[in-house]
Amino acid sequence: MKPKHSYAYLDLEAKREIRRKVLKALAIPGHQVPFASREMPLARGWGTGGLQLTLSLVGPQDVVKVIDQGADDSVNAANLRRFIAQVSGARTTTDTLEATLIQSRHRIPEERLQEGQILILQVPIPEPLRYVEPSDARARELHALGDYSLLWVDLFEEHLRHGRSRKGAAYPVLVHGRYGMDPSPLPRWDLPKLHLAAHITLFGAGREKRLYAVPPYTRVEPLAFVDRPFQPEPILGSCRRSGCRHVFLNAIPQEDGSLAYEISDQGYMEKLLAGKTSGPLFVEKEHG
Amino acid sequence: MAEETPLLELVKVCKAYGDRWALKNVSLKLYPQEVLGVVGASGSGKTTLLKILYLQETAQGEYRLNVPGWEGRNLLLLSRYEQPAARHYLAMVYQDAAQALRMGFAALTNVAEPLVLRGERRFGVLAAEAQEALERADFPLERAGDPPASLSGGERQRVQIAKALVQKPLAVLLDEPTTGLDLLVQATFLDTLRRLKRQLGMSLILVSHDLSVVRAVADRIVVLYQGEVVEEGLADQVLEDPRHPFTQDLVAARL
Amino acid sequence: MLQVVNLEKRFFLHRLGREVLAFQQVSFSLQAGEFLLLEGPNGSGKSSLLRTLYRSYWPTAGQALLQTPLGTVDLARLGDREVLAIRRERIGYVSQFLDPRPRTTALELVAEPLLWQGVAENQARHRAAELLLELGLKPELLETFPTSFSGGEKQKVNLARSLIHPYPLLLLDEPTASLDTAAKLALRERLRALKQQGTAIIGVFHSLDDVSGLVDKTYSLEVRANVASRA
Repeated sequence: MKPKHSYAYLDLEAKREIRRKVLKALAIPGHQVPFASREMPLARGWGTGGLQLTLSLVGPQDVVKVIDQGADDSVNAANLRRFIAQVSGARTTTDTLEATLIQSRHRIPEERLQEGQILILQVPIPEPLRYVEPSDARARELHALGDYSLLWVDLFEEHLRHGRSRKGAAYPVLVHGRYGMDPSPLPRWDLPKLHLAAHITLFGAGREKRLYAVPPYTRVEPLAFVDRPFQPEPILGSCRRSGCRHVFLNAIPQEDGSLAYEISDQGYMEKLLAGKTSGPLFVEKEHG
Repeated sequence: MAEETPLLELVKVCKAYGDRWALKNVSLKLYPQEVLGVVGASGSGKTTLLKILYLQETAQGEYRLNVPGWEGRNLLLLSRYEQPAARHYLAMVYQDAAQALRMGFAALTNVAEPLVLRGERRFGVLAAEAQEALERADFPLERAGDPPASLSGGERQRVQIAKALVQKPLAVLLDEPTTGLDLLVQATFLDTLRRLKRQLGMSLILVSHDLSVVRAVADRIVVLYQGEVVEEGLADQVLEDPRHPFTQDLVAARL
Repeated sequence: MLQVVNLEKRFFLHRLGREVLAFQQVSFSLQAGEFLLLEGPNGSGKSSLLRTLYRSYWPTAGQALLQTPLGTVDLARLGDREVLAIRRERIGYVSQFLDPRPRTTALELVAEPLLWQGVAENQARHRAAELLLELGLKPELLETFPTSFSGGEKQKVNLARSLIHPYPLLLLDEPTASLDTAAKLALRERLRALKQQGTAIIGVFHSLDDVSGLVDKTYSLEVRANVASRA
């Protein structure tokens, strides 16, 4: 029977275009590359950019993991995973080490990714200058001139007023020493994982129609004053199910107003609870 | 006396907007440690002249900067990507502080900005140098954390001066910096400029339509009329012994 | 040290279509340590002559040859930058007008020319204080802003500012107007001391008593009729 649509839902031209743009993005680390964002069977704002990237790259031999805030079983992650499997015939998994493609909203898994793995992040606002420079045309000029003074000014003001930066996510980084990039919506905890990583990281913003990339072994450095170094979030508790204190924890408000914590990376937590060996982590166990 | 080398010079600079000539064959020289006043009526080309000096406008003619590495180069021919390097030696103070400052960020932040742009990445150093510049500009330090939006006109101009000073420029260009300030504020601001000229050996090009402002600080004056230089000379000379009819009118009109 | 040859100043007032002659064919010479008194009725061009020598006015004819360690220069023909240098180092000028500077104290105003010369701040302030007190300025006024001073007090500051640096040539335009007797005496002694050090002085003085014993020569300017108006 003739299939109702092309392989992995996108037509050949769409896939070609996105692949070419991905190659261009990898060649210019951190630089935003516009692409013709197609209609997807989910609304804008729900990961259409990330989805288009995944669909352009997936093949029948791939193993796909999809997470949302670290969880494989959230409604969005589950829907996306089912859809991808359906249109591509690829196998799916919750195990970070097994996956060849990992699409994620908001988090990077704790187990260190290896060469050959591709991490695809869903991005709402790709422009790091968006909040300090409202004009898009002017922002493009600033990128071309390598002029990130606005970001530094913003950072200086934060240190002046609060003694530190109070940004949680979307902390601006400098990629390959050249382009300012918004790593949104990763929390600060995940930023060091991008630096000189063995894996490829792709960022897709469907609504904004831009994609960008960090190729392997590339510098990704959060903007910070040399004498006020970048600090990831401190770990404030321990996981109530595993007792773990060394990876990113979600804070869950309790009825009595207190906070309970759980490991955000669900796949990793399940390995710990089942006593299975996990891979080496991005972050050393001693920290946090 | 040996021939002195000017810091910068314009040679026969012309600028037209459509078929209207804003500047015609304007030549001038700025020497080290001097204040050059540029006077003229509105529409005489004074502001255009400053914009050209700050590389914000194109023009025909030559613009030379006599610093190592820039000998023989005409700054009017630089591409947009080379201009920031030349602008390194210059700083501009505008009549309206909002054109130069980020009105919502602290005064100290504004002054630190050029240093960050030049590559300084230590917060401690940035804050200290910015503070020192504000002090030199006679800015009340207890207000260093306040944004320019909440400062008075005179204080805003001092923030601009500090921002200019922190760049250690060869020359500072000032476009009607005291216009709109009340007289006492004007006078104290001009005092600051004079002191800076002496202590830091700065050169300034000060554009004003107000002759008393120019008289208070300038060593030499250039008079622009309809885009051309009609008179130039020592400040007291141009103001006490004006020779061109326009300058005579201008001087006679002083209240 | 100064030789003036046929110096002339005319003004061309375009709007009025008139030419005004301030002085013409002025010639004299002056040696170091000599005091030349300029004389003449009002309007004879005495102030204009001083201003022309100081280059506040452009001379329209003639020469003013000044000897300097670097050779003889013609003040009438010097470029602007050279004039500025000469004013800093070689020629001092006193008029009756003190430039209003609201936030500078009397002491700072007088010390400033020394600071321009590179003299250390505390030394400059010390010498400035000494001179101001010598001219009779009340000590409590040293650190005050001259804007609130009386005419005589302002004039003392004015004088001190021009006398603080030993210029080889000093031009004085009615410097004793509004000074009290004690200050006039102090000035006279100061001028005497300067003469002994070799300063040449050209002065316009309302009252000859102020400079008794100092004058070595006089030069008289006569009133010249205005040249006929140009159409």
